[in-house]
Amino acid sequence: MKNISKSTIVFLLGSILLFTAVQVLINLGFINTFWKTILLLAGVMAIVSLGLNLIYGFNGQFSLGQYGFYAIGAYTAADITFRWTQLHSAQGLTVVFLIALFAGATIMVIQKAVSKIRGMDTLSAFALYIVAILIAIFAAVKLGQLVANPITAIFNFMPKNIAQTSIFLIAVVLGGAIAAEVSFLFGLPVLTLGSDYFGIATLGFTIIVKVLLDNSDTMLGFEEMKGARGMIGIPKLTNWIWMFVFLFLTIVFIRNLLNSSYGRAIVSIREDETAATSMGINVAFYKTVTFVIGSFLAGLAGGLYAHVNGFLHPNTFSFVKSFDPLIIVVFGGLGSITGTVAASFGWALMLEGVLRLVLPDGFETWRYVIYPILLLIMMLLKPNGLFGNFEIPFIRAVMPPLKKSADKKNEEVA
Amino acid sequence: MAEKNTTPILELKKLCRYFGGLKAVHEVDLVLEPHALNGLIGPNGSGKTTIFNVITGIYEPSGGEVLFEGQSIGGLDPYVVNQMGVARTFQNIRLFPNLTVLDNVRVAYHPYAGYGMSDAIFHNGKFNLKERELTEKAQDFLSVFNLQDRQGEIARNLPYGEQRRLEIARALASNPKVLLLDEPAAGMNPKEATTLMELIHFIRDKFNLTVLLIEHQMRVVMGICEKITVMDFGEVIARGTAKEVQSNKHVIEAYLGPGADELSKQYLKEKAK
Repeated sequence: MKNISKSTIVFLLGSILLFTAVQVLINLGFINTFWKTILLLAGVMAIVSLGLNLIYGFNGQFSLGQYGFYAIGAYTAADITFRWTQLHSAQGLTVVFLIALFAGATIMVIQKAVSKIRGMDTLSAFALYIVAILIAIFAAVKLGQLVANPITAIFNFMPKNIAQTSIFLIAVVLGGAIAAEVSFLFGLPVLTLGSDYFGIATLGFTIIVKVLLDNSDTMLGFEEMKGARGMIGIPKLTNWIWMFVFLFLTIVFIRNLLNSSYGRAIVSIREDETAATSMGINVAFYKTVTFVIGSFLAGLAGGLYAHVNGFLHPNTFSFVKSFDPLIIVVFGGLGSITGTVAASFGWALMLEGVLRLVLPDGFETWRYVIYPILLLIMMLLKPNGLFGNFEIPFIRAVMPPLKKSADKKNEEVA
Repeated sequence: MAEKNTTPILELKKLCRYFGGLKAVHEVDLVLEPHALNGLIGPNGSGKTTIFNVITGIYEPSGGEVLFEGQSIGGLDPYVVNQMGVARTFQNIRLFPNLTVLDNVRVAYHPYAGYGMSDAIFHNGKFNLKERELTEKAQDFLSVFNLQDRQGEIARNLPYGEQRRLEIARALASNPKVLLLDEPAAGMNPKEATTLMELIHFIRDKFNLTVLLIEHQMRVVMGICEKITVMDFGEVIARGTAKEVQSNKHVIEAYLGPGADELSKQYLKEKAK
């Protein structure tokens, strides 16, 4: 029996309508490049913040590491497309794909093995993972260099547009995958920490990533990343279509996850960890899963972001900036998907768009004064965030109808 | 006796739990026969809740063994212990305060959800089917506790008595064989406590459970428990039926202070006159 609920239809129609409206406006030139870039930035921010909302708002882990994973995704995806467009080689794609594949497989194999050993402490497990993954990466690089040329030939065989778009899409997803794998490794020792300490540790991660990127040309040996000078020459491939598709998929994905038994397990950990573990919820596992999914979304958004401006700089991922998604999540309402998406668009349109235009020449930077004041006022008036717990009907969990209880016996007892 | 031949469902053997130099629990032996309804009492700080925490895996035992159906469970993760069949409630209610009543129960049923994460992400047919089953099961548990009309309410908004009942319902939803209740009647008036006790009796028979409960209200413990274990300063000082325990010298002294045994006997004599 296929019956699609009314809220789903409304949501689908609404999204299609919004998408076409914006696309038509872009095509007609009503939305110029300036506003288009801001829309894309808002979409990127929405995906990052949705990832953070999953980690912080739904699972209760106070994370400041979101921008670290965002950076990893951005640079990974950028490197792949850069090598394709500038160096005309699919080497980046092949190697990164194999790394993601091998590392993922290694993680799965080791996780199965470790779960069977009782009483293995986290640090030795961590060491085991690191060693195995380094070997996997080494193998992936060697193999990748071998098969790079035939793969390049395959992509060259395709029409140019299709090849470029498919490499772009694969690159974005791979950015997410690499970020997810790094987050798994990082989360292994760190997720055992209590909430505040976890926040500090993830902040440290963001700083480490930023420092590594600053020195990526010398230390990591990726010369095309150009370290602190900023990476240029990335094709501007992110457009409203792909932005919208990824955002739409993210929303549906998170909605479906949260409205399932797995989502309830995730939320129960936020509510009361001791009670959750006493009720048979594997707290460590679900914390890791949530953290990995959240980081995957950050990496995905990073990949999209890299192709908005065609320019990446490590300062974009500095730890001060890493508070942006946190502010958006709190502003929109912790644990509200609707609120996060709305706040992301509000944030980008307001901060980068309206305020930049409204403020007189030479006063543009004053928007960093106005914006905190707005935040202060909002926190005083609505401490639960703009939307609190509100969700649009499509996302909201459906309360099942009451079950008619046949036996009256229970009533006299209770 | 026939009872002695059955293997105990839960057994503590010389269980110890120390916090630094403090012997919170010291060499405690306890045996729970299947389908028993036993009580664990003692003055404040005598180590009752610590025993619960050790059994459910929140603390690791410092010494001794916890056997569940003959298998050692000491030091396992709490969620493993729960999935093996030990569920508990907490002294100070620990619901998931911002979840609905129904979701509180559905969380506990999660290990038996029967669909994978990929099914959940695509909301496919299997998901819909299993989710409906799961929800109906949860509603059944709620209706046992007469909470079925409250399913949409946020747990923290429930009145106190209903929160207590919901906590027991949630523990039951995790499909236990042994139910550990930590002061279920705390803060209830005598009438509420009596109905709660009837309820505990009822669920024990309905779900074929073994129940161990900590309780301070003597009326409750004495009225319902088949066997009572009394603890003081981390050690067992008496065990037996309600009658036996009530007249035990050590128990009276533990509750009322040394010499209280004599005084109470005098008092009873005077009263008899």
